This record gives sequence, structure tokens and C-alpha cells, in this order.
Amino acid sequence: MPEISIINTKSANFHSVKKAIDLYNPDTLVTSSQQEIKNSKGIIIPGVSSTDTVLQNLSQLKLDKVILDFYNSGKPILCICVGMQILFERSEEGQIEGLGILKGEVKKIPQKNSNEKEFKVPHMGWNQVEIVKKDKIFHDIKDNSEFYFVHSYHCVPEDQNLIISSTEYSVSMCSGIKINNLYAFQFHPEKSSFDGLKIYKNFSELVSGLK
Amino acid sequence: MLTKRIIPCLDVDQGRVVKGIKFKNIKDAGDPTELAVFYNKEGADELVFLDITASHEKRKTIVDVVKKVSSNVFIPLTVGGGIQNSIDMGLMLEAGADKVSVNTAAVNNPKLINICSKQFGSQCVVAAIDVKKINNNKWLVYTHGGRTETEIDAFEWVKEVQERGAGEILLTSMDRDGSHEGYDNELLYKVNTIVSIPVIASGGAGKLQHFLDALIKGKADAVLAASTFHYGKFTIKETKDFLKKNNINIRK
Repeated sequence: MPEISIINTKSANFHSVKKAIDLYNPDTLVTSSQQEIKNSKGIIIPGVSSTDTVLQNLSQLKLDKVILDFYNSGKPILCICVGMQILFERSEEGQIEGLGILKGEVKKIPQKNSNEKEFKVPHMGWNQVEIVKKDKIFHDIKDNSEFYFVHSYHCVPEDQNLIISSTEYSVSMCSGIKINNLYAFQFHPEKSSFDGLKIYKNFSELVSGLK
Repeated sequence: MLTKRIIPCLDVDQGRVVKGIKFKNIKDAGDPTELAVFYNKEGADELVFLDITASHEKRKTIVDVVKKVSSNVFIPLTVGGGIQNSIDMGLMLEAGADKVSVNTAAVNNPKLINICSKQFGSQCVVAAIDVKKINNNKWLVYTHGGRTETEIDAFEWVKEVQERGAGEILLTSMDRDGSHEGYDNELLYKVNTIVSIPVIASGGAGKLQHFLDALIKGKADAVLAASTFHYGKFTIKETKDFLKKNNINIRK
């Protein structure tokens, strides 16, 4: 059984995620096997494409329940981009109900800010991540470092206390969340060069219990 | 605040980078991975690989390039050149590309953009558009690497690719490409007022001031250059320092 499973939602590009985590943990696997996921010490839920596609695939593979159980077991989870958005109750992007681990919703990024200034959507490129809550997942990463984003929807959690990082665009967006041992980021650490890799390193160490 | 992106573009022929890079610390100027690692360290925000392999049988060499580069460099990677259909695009994404650019095939069959953006998501689909200025207010789209003129108006086409689901536009001015006289900022500005998706400026970089002009006058979201970086006229770091000094938001 792998130590860390990267959940194959059949709709994401896992290549970079796998290569990134492999740098810090040789025992990882891209899988959609319920058994392998259940027996892992940590899981990563990557996400490209849309929330509906990912949720539909998870449900077909009967992995939605597996993820919920894994979360309830308290073992570490790392969710990326759409992998973060599916945790919420609903999304403006789609029709399918989210996993509901997090209360709140996923909203379209507004094309104008409060001063009527125009912003492009998708929010694509490197933007600053302000660390609002210190956490070991940010170990060795400076506050306001840039990470790579590409998304058109953003997460709005009901409980603001769960937000560990935020990012300014047309609105102030939640870019990082922690609830129990689950971490979720809107940006792509596997595309964020050296700082991004530190997230994988820190997560890997968290799974191995070194910290 | 979102930063402006600096993107080196590498031409790949049968798995090797051509128009090689002239830096002392590069051992093999033809090795795509070594160059990608170099540019990543230099602070490139993204990389574009353009496959110019003419021979059809040797086209799959680019897949191995993408696999290798994306296993070693963790920044966004766009691959283009000769993409015919959604199968080609899927192969690139599977190999580790983050975005795939389509050019001639999309002009010939615009539905390709709808199909690919639906299947893989808009964020993966880059519309690469080559244009030439015809008169004061008119720019036309060219295909086949700029060799074939179409009757398509550039401003109509950028609108259309956005509506069909492209996530980004890579806009090359054929007039400026290779000229080192600066980007076509008038074209860039016009396109940027029409579309709401990000636009990458391409063609014409020769001085540091050109990047600044494309970002301010042209309102571009990103600037791409090939030979200017490869031949070490100035480095990515010098470019970034210059732009920062001029109050452009740039990744540290």
C-alpha cells in the first residue's frame, strides 16, 4: 500500500503532482482504488477541469464516501484547486452537490472590484499569498510569496477562521484553508516553482509524522 | 496583486532546442530539460515550447520532451505547434503540459476550441494567433506559421476564440517578429479592450523598454520572447529588475 495516494479523479493532470511529491516521498501512487486510498497515510486530491466533472467521477468511482471517511479519520489530506472547490456544499460553476466537508460555497470571480476596476477572468498567473495563520504547511515559505493560480471560481467558506491564506484580486479571495488535518489550496503548488515544492515537502513530512 | 509574466519561448525540432542558447553555464544548448531548468532558476514565470518538427513520423519526440521537462521543472508549461485535434492535445496534457496552444487547426476548424475546452477545461486551451497589419485599422490572421494569409479579421477572431472557450491568447505580430523593434502595442491594446481572457504579447522584443511598453501601452498580461533571451542580450532577471524599477508588479 502506498504511503500517499494521489486520487485519480480521471479528469486531472497528475503528472506534475506525482513528480513533485515523489521528490520527498518515494512511496506514492496515483490511484482510484478504494482499498489503496483507505490504507494510505495521506492523500492528495488534485483538480483540473470543473467541479461537476470531478464530483461525477468521484461518485462513479464511489470515492466520495472514501474521502469523507478518510477526512473523519483525521489523516492528512492535501487538496488542490478544483480539489479544494469540491469540498464545499455548492458551486456556482455546476449543478452537482459538493462533498460538504466545508460549509460555504464556490463563487464566480467578479470581473470588477468595488471601485469598478476591471479584472480578467480566469485569474491566471502568479499572485501573492498572504499567510493569515502560521502553520507548519508554510514552513520555510515567506509571507506574500507568489504562487501560480489558474481558476475562474473562488471559495467562500462560512467559517472565516478556517482561512490560513488569502490572495487579493477583484475581491479578497481565500487561497488556503485548514480544517483538522485537511489542507486545501486554490493555487497549484506543483506549478509554483521552489516555494510550491516546499508545500509538498511540508505535507510529506506531516504524513510521515516527522514534524 | 497578480503579477505580469515573463515567458521565454523555445523552438523544438525533433526533440532538440534550435536557435540554441549562448550562455557559459549551459553545457548542452540543445537539451530542452537543461534549458528549462536554467530558465526556471532565472525566474521565468512560465515556459512555452513550440514544436517545429516538420517530419510527421518524428512528431512524437515532443511528447518525450514534455515528459522530461515537466518532471524536472515545476512551472507552467505550454506546448504548441502542429496540434491537429483533441487527441493531440490530450497526449500533451497527459505528458505533463499545462496548456496547449492551437493555431492553424483552430482557424480551419474553429469547433476544435469548443471541443478541447469542454473536454479539458478552458484553462488548458491557448489560442495562438499570428497576425499582420494590412492598413491603419486592419489586421489579418495568418496560418501555417505565418505563411498563409486568411481573410479573417484579427479582432473578430479574438472575440470568437474567447466565445468558443479559449482560456488565453498568444498574440504574435508577424510584422514585428524577429525585428527587435518592439511589440505591436496598438494591436495589443485593441485586442485587450475586446477580450477579457489573458493576452500574451509576442513578436518584437529587442530592448528592455519594449517589455514595459507592451505591458503598459499594450496592456498585455504577459510578454514572450525567444532570441532576446536565448542569445543573452539580457537575462530574465535583468528584465524583471527593470520592470520592477518601473513599478510593474513582477514575481520576486
